[in-house]
Amino acid sequence: VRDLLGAWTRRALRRLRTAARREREFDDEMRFHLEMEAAELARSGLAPDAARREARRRFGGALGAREDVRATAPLHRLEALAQDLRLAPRVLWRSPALAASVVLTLALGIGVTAGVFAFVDGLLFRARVSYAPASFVQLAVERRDSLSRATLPGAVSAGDFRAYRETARSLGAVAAWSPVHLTLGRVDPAPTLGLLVSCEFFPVYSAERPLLGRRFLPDECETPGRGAVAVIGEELWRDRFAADPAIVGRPIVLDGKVFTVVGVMPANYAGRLRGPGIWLPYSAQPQFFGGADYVRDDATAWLVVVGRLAPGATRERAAAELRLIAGRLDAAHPGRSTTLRLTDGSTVAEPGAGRAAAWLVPLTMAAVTLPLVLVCANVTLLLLARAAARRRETAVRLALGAGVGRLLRMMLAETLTLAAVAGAASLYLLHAVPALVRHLLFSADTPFYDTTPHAVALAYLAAVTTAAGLVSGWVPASQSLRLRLTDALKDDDAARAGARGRWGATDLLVGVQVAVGTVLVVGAALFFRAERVMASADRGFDTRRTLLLPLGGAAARVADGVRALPNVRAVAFTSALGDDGEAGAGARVTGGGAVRRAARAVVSPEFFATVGVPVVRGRTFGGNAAAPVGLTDVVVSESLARALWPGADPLGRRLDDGDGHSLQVIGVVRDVRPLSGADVGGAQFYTLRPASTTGDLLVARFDGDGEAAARAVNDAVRRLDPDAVPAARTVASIVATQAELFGHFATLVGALGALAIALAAVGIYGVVAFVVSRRTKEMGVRVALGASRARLVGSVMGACARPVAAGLVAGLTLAAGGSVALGEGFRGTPVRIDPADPTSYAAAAALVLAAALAAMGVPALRAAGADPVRALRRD
Amino acid sequence: MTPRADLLQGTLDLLVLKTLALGPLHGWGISKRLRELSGDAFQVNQGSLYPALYRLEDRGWVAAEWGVSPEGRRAKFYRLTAAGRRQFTAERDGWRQFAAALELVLAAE
Repeated sequence: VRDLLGAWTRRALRRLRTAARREREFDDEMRFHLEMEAAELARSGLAPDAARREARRRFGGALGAREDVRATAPLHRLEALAQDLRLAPRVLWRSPALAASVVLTLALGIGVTAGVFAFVDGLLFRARVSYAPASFVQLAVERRDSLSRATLPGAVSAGDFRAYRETARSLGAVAAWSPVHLTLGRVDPAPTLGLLVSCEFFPVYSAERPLLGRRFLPDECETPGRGAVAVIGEELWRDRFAADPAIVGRPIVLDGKVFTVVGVMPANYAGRLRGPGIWLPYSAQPQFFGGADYVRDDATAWLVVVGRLAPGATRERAAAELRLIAGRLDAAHPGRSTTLRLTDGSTVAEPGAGRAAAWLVPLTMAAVTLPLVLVCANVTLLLLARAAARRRETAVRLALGAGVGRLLRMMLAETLTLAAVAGAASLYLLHAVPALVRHLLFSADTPFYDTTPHAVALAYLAAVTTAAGLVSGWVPASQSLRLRLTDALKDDDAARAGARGRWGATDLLVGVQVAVGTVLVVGAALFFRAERVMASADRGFDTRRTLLLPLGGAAARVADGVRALPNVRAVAFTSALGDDGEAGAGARVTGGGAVRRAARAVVSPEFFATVGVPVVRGRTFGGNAAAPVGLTDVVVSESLARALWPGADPLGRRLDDGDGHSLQVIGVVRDVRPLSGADVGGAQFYTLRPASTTGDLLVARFDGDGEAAARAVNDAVRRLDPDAVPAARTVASIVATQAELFGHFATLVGALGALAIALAAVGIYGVVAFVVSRRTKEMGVRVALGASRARLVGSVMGACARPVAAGLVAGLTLAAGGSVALGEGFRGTPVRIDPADPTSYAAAAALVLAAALAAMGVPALRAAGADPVRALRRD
Repeated sequence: MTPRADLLQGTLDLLVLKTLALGPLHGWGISKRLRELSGDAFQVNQGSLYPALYRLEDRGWVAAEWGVSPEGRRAKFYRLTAAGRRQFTAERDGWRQFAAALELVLAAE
């Protein structure tokens, strides 16, 4: 193949050289030919002048011959292309506004498409390592025998891992890892993800150095009992250890066992884990997984094996060698058979990935390509208007004998130039979009993915750019070439009548885009309002003066410590705050003949005073020494009381809590807005927390700054329990974090909406400009006959009024339906979407209308302002 | 009026090869000799002749170099290469077969 290619290249070069020489010598050769012909004719008796004329006539038009001759040369095509490309910027420069809007539109379309491609590519198709993905390999091993079991798809046993590591020559480094869920300290609200790893793990995944301390020593990885050390991620170090500079050497408790921190890895480290993660030597495995010793027991496959190819080794050779090793291992274990696959470590190639990724990719790319199609369609509309305006120019060129192919190439060169500029501009988006999507959709504990643009993404960008240029240029170019010459030169009405019938498709295009844009803008407006409501809503208590601290055990001791702090005024316990916590939809409460869903909280007697929930009627637990506290007493919220006993006094009534307990109402309190979980419309009830309860939310009311108070509480808890990693926060800051995450989502929807509206505006502009270019003469006549400018503007803008109006109505209707569904969808979350918010709809409609009017108005006003004399003189 | 025959598609290459097989010639010489040899039947348009020459040169059947014409003028001469000679023989034999077959058909009663 290389020889063939070489020969082809040599031949092509020789032809180019010959052609270049021929081009230089062509004039001499032709002059010689003409002179010889003239001399011959003169010999036959013609006068010298007449002979020269006759010779030239016989020659058949030197210019034409020259073109014919040159057309045979390969260089000619290149030269023509270069000419087209030189000409294109000059032509485009004549209408900078058009060029700018085409470039901007294409840049947005291309950039967003390529950016999302880069993101999806990084997420699914690239090895999750921070350097040299080409040499990274991951083993997908399936072992079949009666005795063994696998805890992970594709995993191997510790013995097999060591065999692969010691024998494989084609792999430079071999590492293994296995995930483990860890409880950090004694006050851990949720398990932390950890990874049991071999020593080679860190260099195989990333060349990054630890932020603090060191990684594991060989002895720690391989000798059971020596591995009581841990490396933690920077995120965990900041979140849970307050970025303690003396963390290295400090003991931490994991699942009740003591480990010493030896290092901190930098944030977003490429080592497979979520941000706030912990790495442990794999020799420490027997401390977890219920005490089974997988390091010695060879029957359990629990380690995922990864590695780097040795210098000079190929994937094929490595796979062959590893299969050989697997075969030897099988031979040593009778009754066992192993199939081994070597993957590139990308998400789709992972043994557990299944087929989800296979359909996810086309789906995502289709969703991304749709905007690009819309973009191309709009650019086509813009260029159609321009092609119409250039009909006469094109007709003149055709009449003068320019080839259709050449003209087509010339016009395509223009759109390709535009697309190229747009492609260059969208390089920025190629970088920005993955970062933006990460920022908006990923949380801090999303694991590492390499989404920086690379060769494949750049190639995709180039392909998309070329395709966009060709697609959006083809229709206008061929449209302007298909015209009948005489019609175009006369610019008469018959040609126009023929073209008008076709524009049903553009109406649809404009209408659909307006509708989509309206839906997205309404959605964004509803989301933004929901976010504002979430952040600023009155929750029934002072969120800035209330701290929450999730507790594991030792609750009473911690409460005493916190209560002793100078700024803390009161401390209480509760199972939840205004919602059902983990339970979800709430309990089914029966009372007064009605059934109602309500959120239950189990609280200590001080709860209401501490949080500041006002008592409306009766009393709360322990508030009255005369009335003994009972576990069958219940305090209900106003909403629940109204729902169960409308218009009646709820005190002393009985209700069933859904678990078969009959409770007696002793008091009514104000509603509390739920913090997370299901919104049950403020229906809440409270029962007394037995003193023996462990594992709860500690609530503290304090004076002064929230940050300082949270720090003080965390310090106090740590003083009581050095292994504790407390996470106290004010309710206000928890709410703010939720609102912020939701705000990101709203921003994303809003950005998409803005994009859709901008695209629709480009399309509308194109349609109106097209109509204007077709009706210049008619407008001139009407102006000359005394029609008012306003009437003309109106008549032109009418061209797009119907699709815009239809799109707007359809969009608003869809948005209304969609937001009701959306409100239902968000029912289980702290987000409250009000589908009937009139402001959101009005604002969206106003925005869309303004954009549409602006897009229609610019070309319409220009047309109406045109000089009638000039318009009429065009013939 | 001289009888004119339109050149059959694809035969110009064969005719050019044939004239050059008789010896190197410049472009004008080729057209002149073609006219003479055909008894003025073939008037080759220069717009077809030179593209044909360049095509043959690109295929390596003809080579071009500058020389001096019998009239003492600088001119570009074309000559047949070895490959060109082989090509000429092949094309000529093919044409003769074709012509003979055509003649047989036309001569049938």
